[in-house]
Amino acid sequence: MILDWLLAGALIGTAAGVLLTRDLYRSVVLFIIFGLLMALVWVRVEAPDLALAEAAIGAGLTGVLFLDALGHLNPDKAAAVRQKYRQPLLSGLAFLLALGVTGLLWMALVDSPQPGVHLPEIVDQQLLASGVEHPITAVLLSFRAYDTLLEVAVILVAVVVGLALRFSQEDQPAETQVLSPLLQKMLVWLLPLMLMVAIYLLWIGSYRSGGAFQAAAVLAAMAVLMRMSGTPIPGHSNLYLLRIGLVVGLGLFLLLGSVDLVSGGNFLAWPEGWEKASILVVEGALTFSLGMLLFSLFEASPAPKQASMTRGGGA
Amino acid sequence: MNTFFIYALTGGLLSSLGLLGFILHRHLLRRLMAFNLMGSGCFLILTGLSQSHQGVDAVPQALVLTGIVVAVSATALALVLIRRWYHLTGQTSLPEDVQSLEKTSSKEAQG
Amino acid sequence: MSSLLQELPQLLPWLVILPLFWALFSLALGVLYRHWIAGVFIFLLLATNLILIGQWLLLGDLYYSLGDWDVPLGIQLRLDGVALAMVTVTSLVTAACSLHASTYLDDYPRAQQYFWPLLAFTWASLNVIWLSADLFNLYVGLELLGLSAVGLVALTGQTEALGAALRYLYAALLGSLAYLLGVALIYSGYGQLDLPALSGLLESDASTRLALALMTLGLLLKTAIFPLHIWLPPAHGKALPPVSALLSALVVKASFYILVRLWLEAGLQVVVPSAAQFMGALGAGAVFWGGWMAWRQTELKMLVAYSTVAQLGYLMLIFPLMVGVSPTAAQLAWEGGWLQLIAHALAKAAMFLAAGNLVLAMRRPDIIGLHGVGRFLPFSLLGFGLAGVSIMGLPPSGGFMAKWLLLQSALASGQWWWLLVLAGGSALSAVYIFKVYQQCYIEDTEVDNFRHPSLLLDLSSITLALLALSLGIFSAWPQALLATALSGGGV
Repeated sequence: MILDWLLAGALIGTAAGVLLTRDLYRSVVLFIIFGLLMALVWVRVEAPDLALAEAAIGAGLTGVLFLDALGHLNPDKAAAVRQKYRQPLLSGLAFLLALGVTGLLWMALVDSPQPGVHLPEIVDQQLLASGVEHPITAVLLSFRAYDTLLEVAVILVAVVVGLALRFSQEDQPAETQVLSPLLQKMLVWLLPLMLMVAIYLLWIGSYRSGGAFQAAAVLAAMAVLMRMSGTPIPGHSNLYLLRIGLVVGLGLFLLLGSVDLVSGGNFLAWPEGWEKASILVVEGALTFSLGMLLFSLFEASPAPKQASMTRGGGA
Repeated sequence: MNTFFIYALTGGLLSSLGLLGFILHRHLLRRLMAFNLMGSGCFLILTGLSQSHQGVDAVPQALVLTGIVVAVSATALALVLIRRWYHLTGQTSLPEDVQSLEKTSSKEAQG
Repeated sequence: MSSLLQELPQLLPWLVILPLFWALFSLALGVLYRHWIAGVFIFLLLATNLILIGQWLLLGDLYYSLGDWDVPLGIQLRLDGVALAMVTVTSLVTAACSLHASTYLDDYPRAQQYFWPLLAFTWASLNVIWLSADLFNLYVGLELLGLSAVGLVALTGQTEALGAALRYLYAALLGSLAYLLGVALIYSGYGQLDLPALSGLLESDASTRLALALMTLGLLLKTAIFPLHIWLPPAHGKALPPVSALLSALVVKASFYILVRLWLEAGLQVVVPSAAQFMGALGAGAVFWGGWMAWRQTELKMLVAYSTVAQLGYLMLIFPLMVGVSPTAAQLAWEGGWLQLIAHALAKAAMFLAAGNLVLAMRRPDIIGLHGVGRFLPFSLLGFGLAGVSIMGLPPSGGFMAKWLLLQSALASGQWWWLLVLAGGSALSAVYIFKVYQQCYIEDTEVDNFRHPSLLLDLSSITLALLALSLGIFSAWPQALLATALSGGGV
């Protein structure tokens, strides 16, 4: 209990630090630390899947994205933001609003009614019928597979916009070789190890914590490391292959989800007797495709070379 | 008060802290980080509060997993736009009032 | 025929599957065959829509458990009268915008490649929202819709569009988080997420009330209801015309649709008349502020965008006119509110497409450039003119019928103050629309310097405008459709 209060305090303190620190770089570093603390919190909330996801996606990928963006927003060249904060009046209102929300939320949390429906019991009862043994995988790919389908579409949209803005003005991504020679050498055995971890996470997902999203995050991290070290990524420069790779996850999900529908059954009901196989195939395709998508989120950001800074752009 | 509820309360605090940062700051990166903090608070409330009522529950955990992925997609999309915006205008924040957007772009066309 | 319709498997999920496949195809193939792919999928979607209308007429409301999992474990789709109306309007407007874009985008070769997948994702997410009855699924739908729409705004990569897209994105993100916070409280308190199941269960404790307030706040921000509308005019005014049309006609309506479902279906026991009056007051503010700002604009597309702010205000009248009033008054408000949404969707899409054509023709964005349009480009002006009739609420348009129903409802429940809003708003819209007409008939040159847009561009706008007009003449059918949702629903 005391540990929990301490962890909660550290979490709030770090969050306040993220918002208040003057130096933007330190703020981003604190943000990554916040993500790692969140992963610990998820362990305490008995959500190991979320701990894995938070560490890989919340802290890892989001942190890399922020650091990378920071590198491209040159603070010396940026027209100085004269006001860091809003005008005093607006700031005062914001404080009042936040204070009010805190109070109301506190009351709402204390006053929250006991639910009349006990979904965890229903999940347990139906777990056998879903074809997988891990309840979270069952929720994600069976009971609420529709959410997951749309969520993959959400990532795809983000990547599409990234691609659209990147190629709309023929910018090449900056060459980002930032790794030390030592780390470069370590990659030789680090990369195969990461691949194995990804496959393990994917496989274990149907029994225990793990699954497509966590595995994909590891794959994406692999690709980011390879990109940063200049290691060639197979098929990387082939735009056509990239496209196919991006769409294969959602495509296979849709196709397999429609098999039962076309044969007179229900959309997203996996074919009878093939539930587990279908889920594994979809998860495999998702891992590959999501890995590529998550990597593309990093890669597709428009990163103009310094020389092009003076160019007027498209307007 | 069980462990789950402590974290639900933490989530509440985190949400309003994030909200404050989101409104208060003008730098787009800082506002985006505030958005992510708010999101984390929201996820903590969802998992913590429902589990404080009926024990470990796979459904909110799965919902939060979806939420985390959606949040990182939104963050990535925002970063893409911020970079392009910075590339075109040299600004790291949006102009305070909407009408001055046009001034920014006409200045940029001259330069 | 009827037996055939009954035997056809339920087609509901195809409304989402088809546009997703479209997005994937156009993404994988790039610019190759883009028009063919679009044509095939639009045809399939329109056909699905038609069959669904037939099925609905025959069988009544349709429900569909995804993956064969029943609520509360699984997610349920439902097609009632209102959802069917929304799906149909979405098909019509998006098809017309696609037709417009297929020609208009010839000037934007780079944007073309990514326009089509984003359009398909937008269509998919709209259908997700119309059909979904699950609060969290609606959140995912809202995010998919928001990100696709932001992408469409930013598509040209130009400074103004980017600034608008960023502002839009930040508003949308804040809105969805507020909504999600509400969902978190609802799930914790009730253990389920299905809207029909929740209706009747909700109680007015602090937790539920805060949940509803947060969700309302988020949805109002996403619908750009005054005074949370700041992001809308630049986003809608600076995007490409087919995108502006889509955003104003449909995208902002999606969050409003959820808001109505939340208030008048699930939360009817919790919401109080004073809150409903407050929502109406926000609407009144939107009508007057939006109208005033529209009149002050010098750019044609910005004028049309502020007109959207004003027109969205009328929608908000549905809350005070339905909460705590007699069933007759509520019935009138229900039909009038939805009819206003549909009429505005058709007319505003037509108006934005026409405005895009006019800007293309005069090669400049401001209203002064319109001098001589009446003489040299009567056909391009026709779409704008016809759409204006519905926006102003003149008979026989759909806009007139909608306001007429709202007015009758206000009379029936004795809330005369909303009559002032209806009358004043109509007068204001007449002022800013006639400002445009007037410029078109100033003839200070004998030379036709205009670039003449292709026939297809004008046709797509005129078709939508004619639909908006005929909605008033044939309003009995949509009214009957909308009425069933009220009697069948929890109201």
